Amino acid sequence: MRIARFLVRRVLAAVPVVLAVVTVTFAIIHLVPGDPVQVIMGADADPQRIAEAREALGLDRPLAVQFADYLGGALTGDLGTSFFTRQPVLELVLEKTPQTLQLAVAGIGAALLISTPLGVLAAVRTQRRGRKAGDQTAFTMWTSILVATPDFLIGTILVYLFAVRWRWFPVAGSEGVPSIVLPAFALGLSLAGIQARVVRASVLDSIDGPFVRTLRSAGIRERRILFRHVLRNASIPVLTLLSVEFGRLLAGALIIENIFARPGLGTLIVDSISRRDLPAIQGEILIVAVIILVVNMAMDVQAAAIDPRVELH
Amino acid sequence: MTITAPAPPRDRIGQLLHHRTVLAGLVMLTAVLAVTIIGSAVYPGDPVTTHPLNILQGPSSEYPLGTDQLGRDVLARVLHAGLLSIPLGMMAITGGAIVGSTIGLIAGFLGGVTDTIISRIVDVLLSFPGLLIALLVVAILGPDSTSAVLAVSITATPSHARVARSTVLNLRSASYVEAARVSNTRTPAMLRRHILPNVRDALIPIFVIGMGNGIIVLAALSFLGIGVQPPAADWGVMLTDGVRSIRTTPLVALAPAVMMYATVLSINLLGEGLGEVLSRFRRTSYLGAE
Repeated sequence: MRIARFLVRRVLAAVPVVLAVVTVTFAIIHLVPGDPVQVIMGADADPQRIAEAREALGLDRPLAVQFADYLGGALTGDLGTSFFTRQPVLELVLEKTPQTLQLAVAGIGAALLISTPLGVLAAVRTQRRGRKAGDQTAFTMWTSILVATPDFLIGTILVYLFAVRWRWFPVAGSEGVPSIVLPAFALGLSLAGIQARVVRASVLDSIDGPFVRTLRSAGIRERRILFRHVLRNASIPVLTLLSVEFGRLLAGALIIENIFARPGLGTLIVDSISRRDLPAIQGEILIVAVIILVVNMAMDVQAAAIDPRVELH
Repeated sequence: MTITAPAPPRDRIGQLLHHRTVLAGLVMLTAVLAVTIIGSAVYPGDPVTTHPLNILQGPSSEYPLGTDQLGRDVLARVLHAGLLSIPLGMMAITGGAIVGSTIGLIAGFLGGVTDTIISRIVDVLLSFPGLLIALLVVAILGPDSTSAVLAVSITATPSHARVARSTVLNLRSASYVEAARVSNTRTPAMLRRHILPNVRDALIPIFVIGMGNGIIVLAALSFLGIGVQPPAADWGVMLTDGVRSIRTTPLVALAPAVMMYATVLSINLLGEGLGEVLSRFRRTSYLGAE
């Protein structure tokens, strides 16, 4: 019940943002310098065909009517037709979305795989050394090497090392599980840096906490305390972090796809921009934005479900 | 009597340089800039001349880093690309920082409806990744280097606006500012002595880290083929060429990758270090302790 109310409030809060996104994507075609139809069809297109296209895109109608139509379409899942492939934009986008989401999820997995042991080890070490003040600065400095790593650069370096030099994984493509390993790590590495800081901080927070003392006095083994209780506690801030960072991760996936020649939303958007397929771009950006909003919302709700202390406002 | 904020600790520069992270970043950045600027001036190779007979060669005495798929000198290209990537990225962020901080200051000072409207817009912009906003701008303006620079500028605007605004808001309720106000300090003096130095210290780390980010986003756009357009080449364009031939001549991709990584890493270290030291300065001035 508590969660349901939280969900409703969270959805209501997102409505104006969604409206803003719809308005901005609607504006794309009208903000193009010069005549958008000329831009789409090329400078030397036949005037007759330009007039036809203008009518087909509905650009000859009053702006308010166009907006109402676009908004209505967006709400009912009609995002117009790609000017290049003549396919419905929604169909184009939905066809590629699963690949991109798959990569994003794999990236999160890779980040967790790196950050959890790193954060835990660092916390345990700080604890053993008596929590010296400099430890935090040093850890921040070392992890900033990960954080400052642009995903498409590390992608290139990973391809060189693991695909060209040692041939452990394929250079490119999207066939089979091995093909997603390198893109996932390329994507997850910079997230892992921030995550490791969060894991370290929250492990340090609870490693001396009252519940740990209780467990210890009950004779529970240290290892079990760490893995079953301390880490579970650390999962809440990690989840919050994922919610904040998801947008960046998804944006990273759009680039990484291009390095590894994986068909997805990233390659789709870049193709559309290069072809100046404005109707397609509108729909693609709208969907990416909505995915980010929905995932943020889902993670917030999830965090609220795990942690009874989360303020439900 | 005029109460002024306590003077900042003597020799700020000395304190900054004393910080390990700041120093590491500064040394690395100087090295990268020196290699790029001096290297491109001194190295005789030409970045654009194609040598059809010498394509995709490994390192040799003639071409220290080999050649790309058009037979161009990779070393010359990576040095000259730096002369494009670094200034363009910095220019873009500087523009965005000026506009963003101004907007944030206005929102913080005026408050009321202006603040509400500006803050709402900034919130919406910040809830999406910079790259998505950059893609949107490039989609509107068309894929070339001017729109890419403008796009990167726009991605830097909201973060600067938010920090400038929140610093002003915090200061407005700070007790020493209140004290200055009741003792009749005039607005220009108030701004110069109390508000702007603090806003500046809060913005510097954001600005520096933003530069690293700007260089990345710009290179990402070029890498995707919707930023700097060939034959001009920044590190992003070089990377596109390099990834295509990574099996045969990995240096074509690794050279720009390493240079860019070093640049961005040094800028980030510098920014994070500055953030730590400057927040220490600010804390002392809030508490009025020296």
